[in-house]
Amino acid sequence: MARPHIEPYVELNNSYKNFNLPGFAGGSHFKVLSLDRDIGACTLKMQYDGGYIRRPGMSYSDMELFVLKGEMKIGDINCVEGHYMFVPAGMALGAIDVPNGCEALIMYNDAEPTYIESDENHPYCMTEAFVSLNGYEDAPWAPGNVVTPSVAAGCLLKLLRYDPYTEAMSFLYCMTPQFMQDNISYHDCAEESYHIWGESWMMQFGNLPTGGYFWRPPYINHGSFRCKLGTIAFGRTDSKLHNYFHYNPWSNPDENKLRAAAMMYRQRPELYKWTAAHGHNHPHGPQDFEYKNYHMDTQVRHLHGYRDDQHEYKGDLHPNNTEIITPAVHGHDHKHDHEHDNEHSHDHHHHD
Amino acid sequence: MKKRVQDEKPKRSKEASEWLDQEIAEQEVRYGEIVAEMEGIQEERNGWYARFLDIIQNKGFNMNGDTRVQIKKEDIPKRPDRPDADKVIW
Repeated sequence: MARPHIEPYVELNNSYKNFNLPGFAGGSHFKVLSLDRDIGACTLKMQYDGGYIRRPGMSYSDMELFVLKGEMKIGDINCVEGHYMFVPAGMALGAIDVPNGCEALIMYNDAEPTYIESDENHPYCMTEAFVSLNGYEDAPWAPGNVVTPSVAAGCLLKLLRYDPYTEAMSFLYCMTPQFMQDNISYHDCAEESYHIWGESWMMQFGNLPTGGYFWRPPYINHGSFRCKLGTIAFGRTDSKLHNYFHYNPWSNPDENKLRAAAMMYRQRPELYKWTAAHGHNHPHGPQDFEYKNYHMDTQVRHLHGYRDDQHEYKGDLHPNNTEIITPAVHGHDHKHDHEHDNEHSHDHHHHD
Repeated sequence: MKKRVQDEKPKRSKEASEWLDQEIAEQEVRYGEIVAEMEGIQEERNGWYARFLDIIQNKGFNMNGDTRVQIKKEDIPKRPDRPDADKVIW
């Protein structure tokens, strides 16, 4: 996702702006926390005035919502503080009614905010992906060692949503008072956080207070970590979170990525050889007998540089001098816009 | 093959394009401010790095969870001589 590295950003110092996009006007206000320059995907902090109403409708983007303050009624669901929703693209949400004002994080994952009035789901909507729960009341705290190598004791997690294709997660996390962790971390995934309450410290960026936010692209150093008085935050990753720990404050993202690849070379040698040495890293990804249609998954496509609006590949993952063996299986013919040193033709016929 | 709602999205409206242009421009300003702010605390950060490198030689480095390993003095990294050595925003 082409969002810049925004860290730290304390939004409390900035004012809300009226939200005047079609379908949003009339009592809603926003602050952009981060924004994808290519596709318009964004994370917004929204404020809804008391008395705000909106008729039932859908978006052309997957959308996530987390209620920070106040309450909003969405159809027959009463969303109070801590309520989380994942709303798949095309799912008609019920009428919104905000009796006394509300603040929420709203995330559009695939494109800029859109709203189409409708009380019916789009025919292609993946309704089974819908998630709605109160993160404060309905999700248990789990120790941070659900991911290994693990964070230190005192960093806990409430999982709100998990994407089985990419292992992207949306979650609440907390750091206990006097939490400390003396290592430097980076991940293969982008990571996002909003501090609902509390202040924590990282060695690169200093203090992140209440209202502090970051969007951190992959392979960027963060930590060591401290938290004096406790913190609760909302977080997301865009794919699998693996903790690469080290103690070199001066390594850069390229070196970190090389180190990650070197770990794969040592620890998963056959997969490394297969992927890197024989040209199997086709940009569409190899076939998966379990998830046959994963190439069409929106999050997978974003991670590999596809744009929904242009319907073409924007990544640069294809190495030179490789032979394409793995067929892409999505349902259209196209030419790839990457280049090879060798001169083989690279048009595919894709299977329906 | 299953089709996706996202592929049915209408062309971006003029209002949405203008909104995006405005917000992208403001984000670029914010990004610049963050870079400047982070460069402004470099001296303090140098102290944090020095403290960290001291802690991992004595109390230890968290290699996994609460398992700590002391790092030998000869293994402590040194600041490289390159333009991006102090960069933390990428």
